[in-house]
Amino acid sequence: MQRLKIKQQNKLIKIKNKFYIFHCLLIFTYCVLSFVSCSKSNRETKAQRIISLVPSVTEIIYALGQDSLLVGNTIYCDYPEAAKGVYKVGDFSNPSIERIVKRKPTLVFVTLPEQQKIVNELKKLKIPVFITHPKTVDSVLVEIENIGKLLNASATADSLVKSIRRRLEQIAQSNYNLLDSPRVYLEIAGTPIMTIGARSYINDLMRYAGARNVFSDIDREYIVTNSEELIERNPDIIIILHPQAKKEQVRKRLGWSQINAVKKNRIYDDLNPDYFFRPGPRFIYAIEDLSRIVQSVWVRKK
Amino acid sequence: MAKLKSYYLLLLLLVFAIILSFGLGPTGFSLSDLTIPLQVRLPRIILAIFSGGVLGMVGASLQGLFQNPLVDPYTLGIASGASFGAVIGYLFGQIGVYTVPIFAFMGALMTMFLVYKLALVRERITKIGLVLAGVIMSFLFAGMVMLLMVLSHKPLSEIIYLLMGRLNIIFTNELLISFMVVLIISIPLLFYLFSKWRALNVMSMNEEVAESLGVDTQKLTRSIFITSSLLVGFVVAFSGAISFIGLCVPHIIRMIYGPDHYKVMPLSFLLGASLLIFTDLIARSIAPIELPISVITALFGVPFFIYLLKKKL
Repeated sequence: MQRLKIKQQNKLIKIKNKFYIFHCLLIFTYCVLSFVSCSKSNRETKAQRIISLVPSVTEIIYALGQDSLLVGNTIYCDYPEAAKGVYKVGDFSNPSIERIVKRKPTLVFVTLPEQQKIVNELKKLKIPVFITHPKTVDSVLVEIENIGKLLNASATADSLVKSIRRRLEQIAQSNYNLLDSPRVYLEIAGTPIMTIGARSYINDLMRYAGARNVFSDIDREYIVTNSEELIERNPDIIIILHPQAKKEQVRKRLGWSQINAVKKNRIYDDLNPDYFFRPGPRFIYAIEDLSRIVQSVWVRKK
Repeated sequence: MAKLKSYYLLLLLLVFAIILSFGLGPTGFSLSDLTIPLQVRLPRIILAIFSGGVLGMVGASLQGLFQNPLVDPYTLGIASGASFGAVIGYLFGQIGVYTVPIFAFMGALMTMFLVYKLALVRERITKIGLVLAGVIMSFLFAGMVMLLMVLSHKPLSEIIYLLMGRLNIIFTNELLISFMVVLIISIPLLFYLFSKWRALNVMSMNEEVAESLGVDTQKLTRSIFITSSLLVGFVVAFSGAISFIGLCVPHIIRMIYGPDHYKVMPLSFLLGASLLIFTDLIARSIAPIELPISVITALFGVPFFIYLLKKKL
């Protein structure tokens, strides 16, 4: 009996020894691996890897001169020209989570509500996100400053914001010449006709240019409307921001001849939609273009 | 007598709908200045009568032909073919008021030919072949629309509205004239469809019985398929794929007035037209925001349909 017990114990010890060796090997390889990955991640914390799923943020990153950190963007990110050459993770509303993860980002810029789904997935994977959804011109400027801080480009961001604020100030001063603000209708799609409401940041943008949105009483971001509603609201200026209709066609729309803007021939179809739709550094051009139109057609103080 | 009464009732409903829709709107109504009601509301009312009526009548004739209660004007693939055409027009065509309607109609025509060719087996058209070919083409074109939307890098909100159905197309004089031309072409087509009521009555009993009674079922299937496809192509080109009307209006009529196609087809036209005017009135009265038509047809039509179904059972 005893002999048997000893045999068994010996066996157990042998097995334990084997396990020790195995464990030692495991721990060793783990240490090596973690050392390698540590040194790797150390190198990476120095250089951030960012992905922008928002065309306006892509523009901000380029304007801050931090585009070397950009390792991915969407197929809509087409400005500046160099942004087209960056690795594409998908389109605006349906970026591929796998393509994002593959680029090992340290920070992903997203916007709500369009990208809620991808935000949830990124949070599950513990990838940090920066959510942008500016509602006013001021919040765009704050956002540029915040992105500057995040990307270690505060100085550039501050000077950029300062120059935009200076230009806004100039426009504000020229607005003092106006007797009042013209009522402007801004069309963003042709069939059905769509415009923007009070919740859109474009509404605020128009205000800076000295114009009033004819649909500013409606607390929504986008509004699908119709001819009669617009005739009732009777705008002084019509801005067409989509390619489906040109000035001449808008003038010919049935019943529209009663609208003030059509009567006085104040329809404009040659503005760059990207200036309006992207709350990035180029929004100031939208305000300047719109302000130029307002200044050229609206009544001034004597 | 009963026949006459039912016509009058639905005609009265249509006239009531037209008057209500003509008088109501954000700019109000005054007899001294009729420009807005005439220029803005009237084209929309005519479009609603045309679309609702055609969908109702085509739905009735197709359900009769296929003896299938689930068939609607879009079963034969016309709507998805038209939306595919519209996407192509939107992406590659010249920009203009005609682009979307013309390309949508071409898409509808193309689908019609493809479905017809697919359904043609040994020189014979079978009804099951037509339905299957239509469903397959629907899937194919819906897939291609999605593919183009993803590849085009453009958010095609317009196409989504086309797929959902809309009546707030903005008319210019040229567009209105082309719509009138379509209207004039459609009227003989509708009468032709109506002239098939006797054959459809026989056909809805049994195909073999119909053949033994001297109905050329091949010819009937072919002519009804082509006429309905053309008509639905016109509707989709201008108003998009408005749902519910083509499926449920014929059922409602049949539940109330019986299955005789002599009654079902014209009454479906009248009810479809009035229903679409009413839904459009609601769609534009929740102003200043327009609701998609299909949302309202579903919200108001489905409970009514359920009520009729329960009463009948």
